[in-house]
Amino acid sequence: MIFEISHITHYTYGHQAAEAYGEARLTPPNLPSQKVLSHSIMINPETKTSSYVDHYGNKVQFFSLPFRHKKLSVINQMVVETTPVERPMESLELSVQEVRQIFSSALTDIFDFLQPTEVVEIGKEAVQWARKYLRGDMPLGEGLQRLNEAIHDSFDYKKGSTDNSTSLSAIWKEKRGVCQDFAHVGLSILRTAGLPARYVCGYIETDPPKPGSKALVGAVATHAWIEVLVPGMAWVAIDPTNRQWCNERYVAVSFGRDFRDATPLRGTFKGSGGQLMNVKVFMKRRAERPKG
Amino acid sequence: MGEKHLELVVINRNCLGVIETGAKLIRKTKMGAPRWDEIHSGENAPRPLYEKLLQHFDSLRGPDLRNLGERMEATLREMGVKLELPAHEAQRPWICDLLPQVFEHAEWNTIASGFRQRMQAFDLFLQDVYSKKQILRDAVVPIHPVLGSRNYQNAAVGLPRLQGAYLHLSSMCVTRDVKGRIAVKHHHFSHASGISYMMQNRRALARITPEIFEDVSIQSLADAPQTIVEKLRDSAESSVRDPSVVLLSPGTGSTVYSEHSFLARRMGIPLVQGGDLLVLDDHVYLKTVQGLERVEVIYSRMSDSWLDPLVFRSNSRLGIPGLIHCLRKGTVTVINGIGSQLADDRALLCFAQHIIMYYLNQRPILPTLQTYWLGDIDQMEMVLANLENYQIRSISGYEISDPSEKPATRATEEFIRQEVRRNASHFIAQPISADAVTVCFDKGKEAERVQDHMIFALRNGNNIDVFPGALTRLFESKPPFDDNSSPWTSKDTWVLTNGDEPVPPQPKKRMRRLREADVPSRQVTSRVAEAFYWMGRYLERAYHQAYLIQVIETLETEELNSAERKLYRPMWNRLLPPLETSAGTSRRSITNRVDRYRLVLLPEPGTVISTFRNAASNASSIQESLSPEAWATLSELLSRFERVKYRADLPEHECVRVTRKLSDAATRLIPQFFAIATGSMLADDGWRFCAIGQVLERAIITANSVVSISKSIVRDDSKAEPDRSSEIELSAFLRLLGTRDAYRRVYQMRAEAIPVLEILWQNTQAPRSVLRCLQRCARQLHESSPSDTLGTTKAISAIEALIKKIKGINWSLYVRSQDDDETPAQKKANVKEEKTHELEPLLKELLDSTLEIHTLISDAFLSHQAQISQGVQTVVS
Repeated sequence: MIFEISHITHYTYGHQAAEAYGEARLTPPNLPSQKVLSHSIMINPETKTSSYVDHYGNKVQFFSLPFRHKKLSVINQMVVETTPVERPMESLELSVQEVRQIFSSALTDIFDFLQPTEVVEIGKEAVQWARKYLRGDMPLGEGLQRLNEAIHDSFDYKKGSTDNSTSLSAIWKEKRGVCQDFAHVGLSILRTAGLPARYVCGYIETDPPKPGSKALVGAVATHAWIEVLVPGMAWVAIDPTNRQWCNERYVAVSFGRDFRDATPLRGTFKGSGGQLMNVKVFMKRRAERPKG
Repeated sequence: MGEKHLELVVINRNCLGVIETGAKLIRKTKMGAPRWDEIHSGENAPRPLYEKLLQHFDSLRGPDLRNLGERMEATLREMGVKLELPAHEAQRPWICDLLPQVFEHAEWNTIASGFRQRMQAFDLFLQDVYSKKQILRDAVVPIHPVLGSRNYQNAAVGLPRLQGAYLHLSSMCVTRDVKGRIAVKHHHFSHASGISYMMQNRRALARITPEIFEDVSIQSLADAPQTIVEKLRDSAESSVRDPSVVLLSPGTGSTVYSEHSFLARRMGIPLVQGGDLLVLDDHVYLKTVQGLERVEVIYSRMSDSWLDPLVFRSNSRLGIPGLIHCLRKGTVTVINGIGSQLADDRALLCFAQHIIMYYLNQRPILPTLQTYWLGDIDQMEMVLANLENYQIRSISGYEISDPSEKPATRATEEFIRQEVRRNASHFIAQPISADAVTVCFDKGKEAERVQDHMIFALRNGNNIDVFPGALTRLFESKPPFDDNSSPWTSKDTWVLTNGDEPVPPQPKKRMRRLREADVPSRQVTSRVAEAFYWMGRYLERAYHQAYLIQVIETLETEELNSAERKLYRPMWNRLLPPLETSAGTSRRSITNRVDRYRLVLLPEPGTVISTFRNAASNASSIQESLSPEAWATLSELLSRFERVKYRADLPEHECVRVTRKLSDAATRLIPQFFAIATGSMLADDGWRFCAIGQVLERAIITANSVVSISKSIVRDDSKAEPDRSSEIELSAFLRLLGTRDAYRRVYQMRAEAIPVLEILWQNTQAPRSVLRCLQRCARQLHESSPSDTLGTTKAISAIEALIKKIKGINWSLYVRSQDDDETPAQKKANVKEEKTHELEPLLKELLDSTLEIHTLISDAFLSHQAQISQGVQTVVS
């Protein structure tokens, strides 16, 4: 499938900002499951960007606007072709215990993806869930599927019910949140179970595939899901928000230990007054080329 | 101080006696642990190193000794040596003992080579764990204390470093264990703090007791800061010629800010804070009043986590957003390298031996003090069972704060137990017997202290030079968790030369001693200039407001009848100085006694107290640039304001008393501050910006006030008789602006519209005339801006254009003259009707132009908007 995606972020400051600096993690990588046909980032007011690759392999654009401005817009546009990828069934048939065993010798390289972070705390619920859904004798694939479904079924998706400052323990308690929270819940359980996992930020096609069927949750803004590292060093993606293994309707953009690492835009500005952020994502599937 | 003395007596009484072990003397102190005695080798028998020194001090009588101690304290205070304690007293005097600590040559050599060995090994360790992580793969050090440390910075992976090394200027804390062996207590590889104290102690002691320096050969510490900056320049020079170095400090909030300021001064480099630096096109620039200057090397005195809000703590206001990106691009370097703080993690002390063996294949020259990591449950239980014998310390920046902390009380012990059990892996324990006992003089009496030594080293290419000296710290009892929060004093620390060997000549070759002519004119950063500027503006504003209140108070009680009062009140409010933002202006009122009391003391924007507080907080951010005399005047006024609290229910006559008292103090002390500062301070760019702020504020106040009376100036003139009430009003107006006396001298006539406008706008001598203020402002700007940047030129030419415009105004076109010779008909003919309507718009326009000067000055010198937006435009095209 070929997707045309526009992701537009507007910041309006309460007063003029005197200096603003930012980092954009908005460049989609080429992966077995996706090929980037074109990509561009536009920043307004116009400024130079300068890029680097961060610790998690994300291509980052750094930009500085050390002059007065009232508004800032970042327009991210891309055309990405996705292809379905077979799940590594061999690895998914290993038991959770075997997987842990295999990874124990690679701890130095996967350390980050096993640790709690400030936002992905490990608490007693995570420990209970890990025991229940990721038992040592259970095949990894089955465990992941059950966990993914359990998160979806036990937590309510509720837009606006949480924000970036809502702690994971509050989400465990309220049992509701948005895709970002679903992903953090999953990460805390997987890491508690000793399975390396990372946070993914990207886009999902939400239009109902056939007229009459149910639309998927996630669009209008960016989407977030989880990837689990399996033996053979392959990442397997699950989406607890939509209760499914990720497929060719997903476009991944950035990765990290949690939301903070992978956040599409982060920045800081000097100036009095607050700011208003407005995000819009448009994702359109190109019509299939006629065969032959 | 009396209390402290009492405590000493207690310590002495609690000495549990003396235990002989072999020939060495070990004292058992109140802390219950036997310790090495640094000074004595037997009961009252000094060690040979100290024999002569003790004899010298024994020969002095008590009062003399006490006197010397007081002179020492005064000398250090004069030298500006301070240690600020955040939680406790705001500032404590720095104390250096009269009896120095002495190290023999041979022992020092061992210490120095032990330091070099450790620093090399830990540099290799950092290089490894931020790249291949081989030591972890080889399981020599467990993964958790390294990758799991909060000081392990992912962002450091792959960052270029000065000469490839992480550690350039490092420190280590050593101590003598119970057997007298020197052992390493703590690594401060990433953050060497205390070099200035080491140097100042030497200077002060040599000044107070020069006689004890005779007949001993001590290694010199002179020029340490210059050596440091030379080395930093040298190591960066491969890429840049004559790189510019700055010292980055978190600011006056730091406990050792006086060290930052001392080092920067002695190094001849700018002392900057995060807000002084700016990232533009992947380069770091220093904002100075002369423009933007490239920065190549940053000697950072800040924790990594505060350095860049985009990468580390996003709430850091101390850092420079984008700094790490510039490091990545190799346009700037920071020493010590980002991520080095990991090397200071106390958990790694337990593995120091393995780290040295692993990278250097050598046995450690200096042992590490026995260190227990409490994350290990057995070690934790063992330590908690004998807590009185251990010093508990947090691993890295994890702080325990117990407000009720008193050394060695039961409550504190309970508190420690709780904290340790809750977060055991955050703590280590070391035996308290580790610190040796020494002798110091407190108030002329011998007293007992325990001590450790901070030593310092500097990378010199592939070698490491250890400075021959130390900051010896003295504690009254076992130090609590955090060294900074416990009161400690210090000793000068001597390293003897080897008697036979001549002192190795200092490598003179590369040392450029700064001659007076080479010293760059003191660069004033934009932040400092801006603080000066706002200090000037706020002080002038507070002065004017207090003056207005004072005059109105007098007018009301002594001169005006109730009808006149009613007439003037509306005008009075309009005379209040304009604020930067419109917030709160409508609520300000000066018309009655209670209002005036509120206007002086209410803690909200636009009152005298809050305006003055703004001035004072700007002043305190640049306190080291102010002369002590000038600062004293400000703090006197501040304390007068702080002593009185606003009370809503105060009876009216009390309000009047307080209002008078405070406005009198403000109108007396603010001009006194300006006079004292002018007489006692360097007339550098910083001070010039204070003067610019002052005169610009005054110009704005005058311009604003004139607008407020424009209506009464052009008032109905159908009456042939000169308007009596208008005259009184103008006269009172002049008085409120402090210009009545000047007016009488110049014009020797009653107050009339045209001369009033002239003296307030066009007179070149009247103190508050806008023209005079602007001329002074332009003169100051000329003096401080030799560089011809566009912004500078724009600002100065705008002022000059405004001056020209003011000079060219003919007020008689806008105002009816009151010439008695003319008949009303003639008057009518002379004045073009439409022009009188133009007076108010003209005055408003002039006010706006005056206000605009602020933006131009700010863009050109302070925020550099002028230069940057220019730069960006070229980028875009």
